[in-house]
Amino acid sequence: MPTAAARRLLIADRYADVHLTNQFGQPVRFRTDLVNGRAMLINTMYTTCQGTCPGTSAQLQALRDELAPLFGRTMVIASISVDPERDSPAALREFAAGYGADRPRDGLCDWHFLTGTRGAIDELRRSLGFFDLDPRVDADPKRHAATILFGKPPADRWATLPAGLRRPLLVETIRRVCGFTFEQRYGIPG
Amino acid sequence: MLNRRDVLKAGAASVAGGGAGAGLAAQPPGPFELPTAAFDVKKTTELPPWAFRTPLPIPPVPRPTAVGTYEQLTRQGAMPFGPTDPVPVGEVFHGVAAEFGATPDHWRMYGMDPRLTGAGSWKDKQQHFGQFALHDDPQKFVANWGGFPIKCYKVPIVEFEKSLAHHPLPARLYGYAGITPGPMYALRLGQPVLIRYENRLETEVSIHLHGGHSPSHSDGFPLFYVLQGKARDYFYPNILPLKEYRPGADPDDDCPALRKEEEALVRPTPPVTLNGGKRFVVDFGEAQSSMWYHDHANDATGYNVSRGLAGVARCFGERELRLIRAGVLPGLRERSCFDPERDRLETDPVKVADLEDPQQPGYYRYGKEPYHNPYDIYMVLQDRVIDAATGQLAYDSNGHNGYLGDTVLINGEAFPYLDVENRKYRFRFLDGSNARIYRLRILSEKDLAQIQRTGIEAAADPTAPETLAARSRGYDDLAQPFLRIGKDSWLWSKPLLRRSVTIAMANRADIVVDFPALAADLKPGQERSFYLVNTMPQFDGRGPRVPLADGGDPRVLPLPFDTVATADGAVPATTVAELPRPMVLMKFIVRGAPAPKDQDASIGLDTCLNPHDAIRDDEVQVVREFVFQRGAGAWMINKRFYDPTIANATPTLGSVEEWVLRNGGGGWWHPIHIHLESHQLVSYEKDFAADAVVDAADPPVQLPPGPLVQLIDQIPPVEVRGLHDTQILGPNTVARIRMRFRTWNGPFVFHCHNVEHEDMRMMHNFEPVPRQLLLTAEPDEAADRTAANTAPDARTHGDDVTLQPPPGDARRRKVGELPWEPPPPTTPVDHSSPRAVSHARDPNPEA
Repeated sequence: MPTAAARRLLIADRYADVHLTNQFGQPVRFRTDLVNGRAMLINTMYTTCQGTCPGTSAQLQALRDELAPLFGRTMVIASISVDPERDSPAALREFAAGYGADRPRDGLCDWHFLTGTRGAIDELRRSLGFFDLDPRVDADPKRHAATILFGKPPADRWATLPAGLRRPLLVETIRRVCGFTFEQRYGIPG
Repeated sequence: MLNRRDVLKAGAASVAGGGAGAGLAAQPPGPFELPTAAFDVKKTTELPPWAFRTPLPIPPVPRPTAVGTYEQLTRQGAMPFGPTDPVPVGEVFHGVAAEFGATPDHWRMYGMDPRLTGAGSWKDKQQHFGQFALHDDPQKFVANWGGFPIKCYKVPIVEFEKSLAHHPLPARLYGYAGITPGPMYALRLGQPVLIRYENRLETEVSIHLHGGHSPSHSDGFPLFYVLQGKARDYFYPNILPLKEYRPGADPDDDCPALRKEEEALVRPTPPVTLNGGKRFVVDFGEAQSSMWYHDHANDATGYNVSRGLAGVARCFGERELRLIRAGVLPGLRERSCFDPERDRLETDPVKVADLEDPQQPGYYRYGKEPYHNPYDIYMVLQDRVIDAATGQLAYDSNGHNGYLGDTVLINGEAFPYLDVENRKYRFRFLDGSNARIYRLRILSEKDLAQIQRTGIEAAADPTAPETLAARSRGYDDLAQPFLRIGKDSWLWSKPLLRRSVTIAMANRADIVVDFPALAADLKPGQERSFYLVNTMPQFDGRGPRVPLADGGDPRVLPLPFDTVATADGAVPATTVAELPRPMVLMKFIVRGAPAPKDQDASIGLDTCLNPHDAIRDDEVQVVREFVFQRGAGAWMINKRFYDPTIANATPTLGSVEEWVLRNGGGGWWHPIHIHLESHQLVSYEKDFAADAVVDAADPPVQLPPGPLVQLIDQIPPVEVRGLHDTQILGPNTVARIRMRFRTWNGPFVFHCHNVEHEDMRMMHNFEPVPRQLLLTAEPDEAADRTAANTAPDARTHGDDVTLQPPPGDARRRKVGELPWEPPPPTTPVDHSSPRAVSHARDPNPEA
């Protein structure tokens, strides 16, 4: 059996602990405040997106509704703006309203839309893997990945899936990766 | 819409301008924010002070928990998985393959009776899967199915600790039976194996025996998990697939004498009335040799494999054993063909104490294991980043291009050494890395020292100008020659003389090194060192390329073959670029005078090893095309993400298809692994001009077809004719492969073996299905074949791959696949559009 002596190096240790602001204007430190034992869903977006963001956000809204009975508040969603100059907290809140995340809702998990300085955002998304090896693609917010990163920090398990998958597949995978109990993960008694 | 020239111009401009080109060549802004856990390119070229002080570990061979007949293992009270496990075969949570205790309906084509179950069904299979003669007794025939008793193993999958690369703190790893690489299985064709894998990890797993021909239930289908705390009985029948019996010589055969000799060594199954009276015989050419097994769980493969879930298996068929027994292949002749527990488990305590390693109960003592062979060494190459502060593996599950390490572990040890006698050795290399492609060479100590001082160009020829072509020629001048005898699971028909081997992820390379030829003048008591090096330039998960910092060109994408530039320029010199200073991986220390020739292996360039039947043009019935591409920040095939609930192709069982595998651009490398059976390469084309485009789009711009250069002629015919299970698809490449679909129905997958790409859904299902045309003489064959890919036909996965009680039995559905998996879509889905091939058919094929 593993002993306590072996220090663990968690994947989430590398996530940048940057200062950000959410759609309510509240300060949020990414790792300290969000990576704290809850299951996590993370994506990148920007409010003026004409491409994949509305679809991904709608997918997240549906996932939030569908997973609520299973996870309650032991889950948190973080949507990180890749266009922070334009996306003020107020703009984010307006965007979030379209997906039911402009105010806390009973029974649904927290959903933060996050903005910050360009430097903080770049550091964070790179540490999360939301970057492209090609600097030209990387620098262009229009080409950001339409993926959802999700994980269960205490177990050091993370996975990324395209946001456009059929929802039953996303739900199945998110339950399996993020679930805390056998039943939560597999839908059958352990 | 960009045309090809615009794209080319844009690419060239960005490189010439320096900005983007230089950015591409520089280290990408990596996700490893902790400096101690960062990929360190220096570690790939600089040797630590402790290098070559640890011997190469040889994975131990496990002892079976039981060896017995079907009846013995399934009768009341039998404990096939050891005295502490009373659960009978198939009664664990995930059950056992249906084929263990029942007969699939389509095996009527082999003359079997699907109504039989249990022992009756087992006997029926023994009678109808053909027979072959033993390598040491041509008069004695054994059945292909269950010719030898079934061996059982029990393997828990656990987390454990072990220090990596001499770090003072142990790393937390995953291991089959708590070791990594896992136990080394010794398999025998004709001897079924049951392995009860028990999952004690925090994650779900699925185990794939790579290169095997196994039932769907046991093939590591990504959703056929072993959940936490549960177990699955993996059933590996270790059979050779059947082929139609056609006496007489094949005109294309490169080993006619061997084939003729073997006609007396197989027994076809009795003629059957179905199928127009076809007879079937075992297909020796499909005999596996070098297999491996690894995790294949959906979305978790990269993480699980990098944590240690991989191991190797050697498989022995009568053809290979004949070569070992005759002293053709390196080995101890008869001793290397001997399995002390082939027919029964040793229970006499004295004998067990002799067989079993007292330090490692459950494993054989080294030297006592089945098929013991000190001159046959299996080596798993895995690159890792090890955190300097904690000694832990720094795995980046968010690096979608592929996880590249800076420290190469061989059988779990960094920079090991291997003491060898001065005689021929067989080395089997496995690229067990997540994303690294290797070009392996063997260098003498003197040449390596010179190359490290001056770089390869000056070391080979001080007067030559420093060019990429000179670099490759330099290695070919200096590197030591060896015989390459096989790729992936299979031996080739004949050996090839090589000075390098290129292996992509999951590829195996089987080579024989003639140390007496390399150290002929060595005297007793003397020793000489040689080094295994990697010369493939690769600095990110995208694939090999030569970075600017090395004086090269970022647009240079090496070829995935051990090839040289051609005089006519068809293969440009730049495409064979190699590292100016190689990555040193391990050291061989040769001791003493060369072994006398008559005591050494006799293998030579003319030795016939493993010929097989090439798939002829007129056998191909369906052609499908698959494009492997980036899209929406993840990985796709034919613009679809992996959906485990649908079948993307449903080939007809018993048929032959040709698949066109096309790299969708962007400079990525995709080694494509197809489960179930071997495939044959018939064409490998590349658009060299497109390599010059540094394409940033997502998805990459699909270039209008450029001038494709056919490279198949650059690859030696023996290699082309050989069998493959993982086909490397370099950038801007189109490969055509042919494949038979035999024996097993149910879902299987094919996917990119860059496991991060695989986890990010660059995977498809194919489900071989029986169709009526095989069972009756239906006239409308073409319609039946091409009306294939609709959802009802493609059930993809369900209970029928697990052995279940008959319908109506109350116990039904208590074992098997899980009911909670997402339902398949109700409407027919897009698919790979098979096209029937219209070629002139022989009007009288059976005549």
